[in-house]
Amino acid sequence: MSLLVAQDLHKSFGRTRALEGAGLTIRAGEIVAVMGPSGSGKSTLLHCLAGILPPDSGTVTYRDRELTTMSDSARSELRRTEFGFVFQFGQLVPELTCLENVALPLRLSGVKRRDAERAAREWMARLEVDAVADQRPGETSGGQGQRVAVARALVTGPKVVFADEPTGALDSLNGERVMHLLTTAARETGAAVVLVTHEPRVAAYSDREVVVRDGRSRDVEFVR
Amino acid sequence: MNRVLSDLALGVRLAVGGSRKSWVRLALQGVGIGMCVAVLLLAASIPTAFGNRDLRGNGRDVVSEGAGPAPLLLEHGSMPFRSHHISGDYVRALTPDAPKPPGVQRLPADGEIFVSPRLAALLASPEGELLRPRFPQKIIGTFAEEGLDGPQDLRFLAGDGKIEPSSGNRVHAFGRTGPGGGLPPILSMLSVVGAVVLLFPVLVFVGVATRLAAAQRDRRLAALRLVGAGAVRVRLIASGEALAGALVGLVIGFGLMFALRPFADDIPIPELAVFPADLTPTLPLTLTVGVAVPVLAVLTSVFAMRRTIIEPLGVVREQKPVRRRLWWRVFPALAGAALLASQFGKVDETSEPAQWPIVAGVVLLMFAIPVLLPWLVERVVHRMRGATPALQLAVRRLQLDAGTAARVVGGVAVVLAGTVTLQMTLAGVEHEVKADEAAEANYRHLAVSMHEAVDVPELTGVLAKAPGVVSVQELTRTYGTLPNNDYVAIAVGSCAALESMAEVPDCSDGKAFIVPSEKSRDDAEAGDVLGIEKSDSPWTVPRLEPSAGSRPGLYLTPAAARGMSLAEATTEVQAELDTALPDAAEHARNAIAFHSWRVYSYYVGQDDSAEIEQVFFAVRRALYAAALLTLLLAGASLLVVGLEQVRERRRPLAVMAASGVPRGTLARSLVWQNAIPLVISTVVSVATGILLGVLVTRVFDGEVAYDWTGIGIVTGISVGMVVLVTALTLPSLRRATGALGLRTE
Repeated sequence: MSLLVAQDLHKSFGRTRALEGAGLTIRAGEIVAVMGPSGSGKSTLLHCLAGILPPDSGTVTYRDRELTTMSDSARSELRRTEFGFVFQFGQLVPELTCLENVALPLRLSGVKRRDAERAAREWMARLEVDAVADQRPGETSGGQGQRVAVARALVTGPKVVFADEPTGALDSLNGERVMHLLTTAARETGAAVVLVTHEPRVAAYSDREVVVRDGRSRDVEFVR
Repeated sequence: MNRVLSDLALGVRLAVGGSRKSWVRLALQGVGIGMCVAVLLLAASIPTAFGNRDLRGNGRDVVSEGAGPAPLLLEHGSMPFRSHHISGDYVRALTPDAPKPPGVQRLPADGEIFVSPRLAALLASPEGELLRPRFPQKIIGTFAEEGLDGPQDLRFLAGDGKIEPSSGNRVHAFGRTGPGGGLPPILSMLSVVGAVVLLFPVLVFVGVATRLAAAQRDRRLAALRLVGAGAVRVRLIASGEALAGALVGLVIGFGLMFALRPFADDIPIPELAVFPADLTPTLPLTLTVGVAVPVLAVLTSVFAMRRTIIEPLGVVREQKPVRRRLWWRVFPALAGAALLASQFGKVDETSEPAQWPIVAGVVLLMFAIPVLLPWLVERVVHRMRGATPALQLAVRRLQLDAGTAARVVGGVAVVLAGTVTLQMTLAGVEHEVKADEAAEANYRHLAVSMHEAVDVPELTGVLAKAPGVVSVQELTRTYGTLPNNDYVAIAVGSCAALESMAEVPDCSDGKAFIVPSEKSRDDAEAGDVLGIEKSDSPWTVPRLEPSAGSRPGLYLTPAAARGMSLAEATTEVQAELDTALPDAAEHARNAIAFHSWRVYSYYVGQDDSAEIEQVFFAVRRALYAAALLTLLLAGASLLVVGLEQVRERRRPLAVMAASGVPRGTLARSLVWQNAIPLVISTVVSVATGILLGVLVTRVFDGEVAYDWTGIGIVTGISVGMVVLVTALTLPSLRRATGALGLRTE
């Protein structure tokens, strides 16, 4: 069943055309790797899919709801409740402890602190970062920080996790570990994962690969 | 509502969590706001302080009517000593249950006295040796606070068994109920203006603090947007950070206020010194400060972010060029000046000011400064080209964003202008007081008025034998009513007697002289028919010769006063004093001290300039302290902006340094960047301050005087601050231009 459908997306930044007719379909529970060289538009595609950036034209439909016509607050709510995010770096709030960071999306949704932190602890244990629960992101290693980010992305039980170069700042060993834990947890919860990467080693964790080149996307004809 | 509070709480959490930088930012914000809060709380205490003063004054008021014979007799005594004014009451209890005034445990018996702590200290000091003969009574205690207006009061309550009942000295009770005098209108007006002026730095500081560590905050806010916080919620969370600063500021402000309170009774000016306990902010004003400061912080923070778009991928600021228009910016200045001009000469000692035009005029003129500055700074920097690379770098930077710098210095400029205005007002008052002193210093005579029971020849004889007394003359004094119902003082005496008070050249019996009164009052003229006090027969003014003297009025020889009914006039004794003997007036007063409350003396020629210098020195010192404090606040704001700019421009600075731009050039560009807005704001604030000083002085019909030294000092401090702030920014610049500055993350 199609969960997220993007059709004929166009997006320009000034004179630079980032997307020129890109399209993509994500089905529930599948892990899709979006690949392509630097500057090909893969991150822009992910941002449009997640409702972070509005495309100039084209449509993004999530469960029959058109993202491009949604209000900012509706898209914010969608990000809070249905989507999760793991980026290369910088998405954790440095002032909050790792536990508070993981609990943050729940707290923003009005969940009580105790309940939110209990759920956060469970996810941190699953991702093997419960030891750094009371530390701030700046006090953890890069791998630990990314696993905390994965825990935060999954704590709300999202339907789609968007991961933009999640291992880009990690060494290969830590990268492998993060990818293993992310994909395992996503499969267990049934969340789809949209994984932007230029590393074939990372893309190997996906069910399907989509290649973006010059702002256009193309499904690669094989499924693992 | 819960969500709003929870978002604000999250903002507070973000403000107090995190790195050392977060704490530094919070501390800086807290100290800045705290200083303003402390001053606001002090201002909020003024109504209580004056209210309590009034209440205690009312408590001492006598109730002269009651059933049966009065249980207590009371005569008021007033006793100048050098520059001090000592006052008190002489009492005689007629019954054992006679009422006692507040502040004493019991009524003093004949020969006993209660004194205020300050009077006790004066009597015990070496200076008090000359005063002791006037208080031969046994001191049996000191007044408690409820018996005094303020801590510097020189008061006494003495027992006198010789007081006889008369129509005006019977006391049935103490304490008058009813409304007190309240805060004098002029003080209440100044409090309002002061509070308004102080709010500007609060606003500016909160605005600046929201920009502190902006890059770090931007990342944080973007992260919050990414996990699903809406745009409005993110703004609210960011406001929570400002709220944290405001709350810390409130705590620091209350702490400062209560730490400073015990020093209130050390103020050397009796009219301003208050008991520490009186310095308690009124509940409504405390609540206003407690609520207004955090609300203001949140609103300012929201306002400061109005052009900021926070998105999940980062934060952008709308940099649309804002075209600043002049026409509406000059409106507050013109309106303020017009309002003040409309009140020229309408306020004097006898009339109450129409408060709102004056307050509105002052506030509008103050408000004109931060409104005009961004326009002016922008205009100036856009015309600049930059002769040296350092100046060019600074000018180009300011051309990109002159608004922030102008806003930072705008709040300070308001306070600087206020300081300059106060300095000018102070200089004007000082000038007038000193001129009066100089005029009086030409006359050295002691005027003694007395109770009807006093034997005048005996008093004259005692006075004539006192050390330092050259001669003693008798004068008859009364008052005449002019055709326009104004009063004119009349003194009748021999040429020698008149000479002691006025210049009476070629005086001979039959001549009449006039010492003109101050401006705006009519004087008697030859031919005017005057009504004479306590007399039914009118009197026609003879030909008058103009004269100069210590007290305005008519000075008549006995022949010139012919036809005037002087049966009810009072007798005054004039003692001419030897200028060579120090404290001649005090020796003469001591000689007649045995008459206690039955005589009152007034010394014309007292040299109070040392005392006046002391008072003005104290006021000026307080003013400089306040100005310095505010400038420190401004310095902190500038430092915050300077450090933030270095941080935000770390990479371009590092690139410049790497490509060979000397660090000295970069450092000098920082100096220019701080100096240009501050120099412009100093010029504007000094000019506005002087304009406001002139306008306010004209409203009070005073003489304009310029305190160039004071203005110079304040300006010098401003310049010094720029150098200091830049010096403090240099280590950060050095780090930024080092090799590590080129790193991205």
